[in-house]
Amino acid sequence: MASTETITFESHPGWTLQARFFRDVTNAEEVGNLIVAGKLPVKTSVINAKLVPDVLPLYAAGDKTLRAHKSQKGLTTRTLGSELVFNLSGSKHIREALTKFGVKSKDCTSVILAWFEKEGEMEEEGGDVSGLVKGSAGAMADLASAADIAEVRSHYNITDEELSTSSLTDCVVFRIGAKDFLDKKSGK
Amino acid sequence: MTEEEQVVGLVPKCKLVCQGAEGRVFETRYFKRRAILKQRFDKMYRHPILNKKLTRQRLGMEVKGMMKARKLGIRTPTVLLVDTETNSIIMDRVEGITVKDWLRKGKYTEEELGRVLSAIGTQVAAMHDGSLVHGDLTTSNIIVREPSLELTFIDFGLSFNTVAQNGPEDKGVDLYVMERAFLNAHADKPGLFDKALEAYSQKTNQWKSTFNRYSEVRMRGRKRSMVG
Ligand SMILES: Nc1ncnc2c1ncn2[C@@H]1O[C@H](COP(=O)(O)OP(=O)(O)OP(=O)(O)O)[C@@H](O)[C@H]1O
Ligand SMILES: [Mg+2]
Repeated sequence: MASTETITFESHPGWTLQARFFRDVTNAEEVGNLIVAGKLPVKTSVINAKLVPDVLPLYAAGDKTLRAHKSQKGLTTRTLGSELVFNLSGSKHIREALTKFGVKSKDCTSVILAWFEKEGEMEEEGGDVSGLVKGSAGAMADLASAADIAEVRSHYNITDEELSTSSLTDCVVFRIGAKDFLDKKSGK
Repeated sequence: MTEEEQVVGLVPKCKLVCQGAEGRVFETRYFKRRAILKQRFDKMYRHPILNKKLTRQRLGMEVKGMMKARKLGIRTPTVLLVDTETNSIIMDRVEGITVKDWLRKGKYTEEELGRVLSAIGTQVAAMHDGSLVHGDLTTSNIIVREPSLELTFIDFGLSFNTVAQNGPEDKGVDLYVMERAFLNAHADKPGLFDKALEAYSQKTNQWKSTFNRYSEVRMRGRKRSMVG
């Protein structure tokens, strides 16, 4: 069994984001199709792990998701699950973001499964769909080694100059946190 | 929770460290990190809708300026989250002290002072050559870390991207603001700005046009202070 990491949010007492990391995944495309077809729980996200170099981006994107959920304006996408994926991306274009960070591609072999839980809320359906993922369990601490640095840099448009003063994770979380104010192409 | 700790923008345990005319700065934590929460408030005397728009615009100027500076190789805090509901920016808390405090403490060698002033000049030149104008280059808006003397620029709330024909004027004003800030905060130590400007002149590749405008801006400033 994969070990589940529980992310708690200082700003959202009672809420957690549960996350599991899988490597050597052989059926990512199939799981991606289930998501697109609306056959997975609405609070669940299936994320292409090679674009996520650390837990911090998940935390920031999760925080943003819950803030939107609580706000008058509401979510930008349809579900908590897709909102998390959208927030992880540097793009403001919803479909582009969901495609890029989703797993609907044959060459996606490492996957993060994440789902929100709220304390005391009666669950009609759990968010955990680990059983559907064919792969081997990893620890969230392995995210850095599974990340594709070149692809992360190109998606978020991270320059050598910036990397000379800042870690890759910090460059990524900056763009997630400031997303609403940056240009569509992640601050180009 | 102790008395001074409060919830700001949903973030618990915020401790006020700085109360300004346009905003407040708190110390807090964000996902295992020491963080700063900077909240800007709407100025009460403005029209409410315009008010909201302007506050949001300033928030945008701040994070966009930081993003641009980072891309030019300038160290800034890492933005962790922007909350538009409460006009707050949560960012990394930078280790070190402001250049203002560092200069006032005076515990540096001549060589270290030279290094810091020259780094300020060089980094401002890098910003300017990248068309970024900081807008508030005071010694409180630069943090120096010891012992490396690495600099981090903060407070980009007035920063903007200057367009070609306004470049020299905007940069000239930026330098003049910096000169005044050095004079006002460090009147006992003349010549600091000149050292920074010297390094600036060596780094920038637009020295002539910027320097001409800076000199003009300076003259205007002097005339104004003679009249006022
Ligand atoms: N990221 C940070 N890390 C460490 N200290 C900080 C940070 N941000 C702000 N500070 C401290 O708080 C002080 C005030 O912050 P800042 O300059 O951003 O606000 P301000 O001057 O009130 O802003 P504004 O001029 O935009 O109204 C700084 O001089 C510095 O001492
Ligand atoms: Mg300041």
